[in-house]
Amino acid sequence: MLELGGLEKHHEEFDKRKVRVVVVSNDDQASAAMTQTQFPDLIVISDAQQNLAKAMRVIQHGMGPGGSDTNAPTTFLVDGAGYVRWLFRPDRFLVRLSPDKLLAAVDETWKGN
Amino acid sequence: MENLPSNTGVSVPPRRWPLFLMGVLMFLLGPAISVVQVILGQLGMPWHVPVLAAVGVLFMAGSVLQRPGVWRSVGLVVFALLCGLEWFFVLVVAKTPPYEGPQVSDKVPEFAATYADGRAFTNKDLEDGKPSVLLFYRGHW
Repeated sequence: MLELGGLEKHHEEFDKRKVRVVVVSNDDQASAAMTQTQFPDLIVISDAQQNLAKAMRVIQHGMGPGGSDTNAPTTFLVDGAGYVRWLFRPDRFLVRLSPDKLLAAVDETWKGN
Repeated sequence: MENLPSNTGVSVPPRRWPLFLMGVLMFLLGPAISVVQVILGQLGMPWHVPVLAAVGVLFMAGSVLQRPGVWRSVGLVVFALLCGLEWFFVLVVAKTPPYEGPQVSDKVPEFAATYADGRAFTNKDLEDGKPSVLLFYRGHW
């Protein structure tokens, strides 16, 4: 959740670049609604069935609460046509991408646009 | 003035708790640095935690070698085990599986999820002309 706070703080920087920030977890809709209230400038998605996580193959088996499956922290930049243009997957789940590095990746990916 | 002999003539090794306590402090410094990093919003790999723990254990081992004692030895074993657990966590447990999903230039596959308000969110929502950051996180727990 810490990374969401950082993204929320920098939301104007993303708005300036006309990039929306979509954050996805396996939380149910009620938890996602709470998260949305906490971070109103992000787009919070509930992926309780892990349909999106499976499509993007970001599941980490057995590392969630009670040995459940959870998301391995992974970040994608997706263009307006739905194509992956950049991705970041740390080799350890303790590592998070800082908003500054993400903004740098956005600038690098869409420079000149 | 005349030099007087020491009162007993038996040399007593100095107490080594300061060295042991330095080791404990070194051990605790790693988590303390991590707390500060979290407060500052920096979430990098906390290699400093097991490294400082190992240095702390070395200090404690030095203390035990210089002045063995039951409690000091028990403390050393406990902290050495904790240090081993920290290394196991960062080297083994914390590893993410290799990424095998869509690569750069691949299209996001079809999926169906929901917005926080219950509306459907699908791959089509990422194809409306506006670029997106799509970030997967570990959730509310």
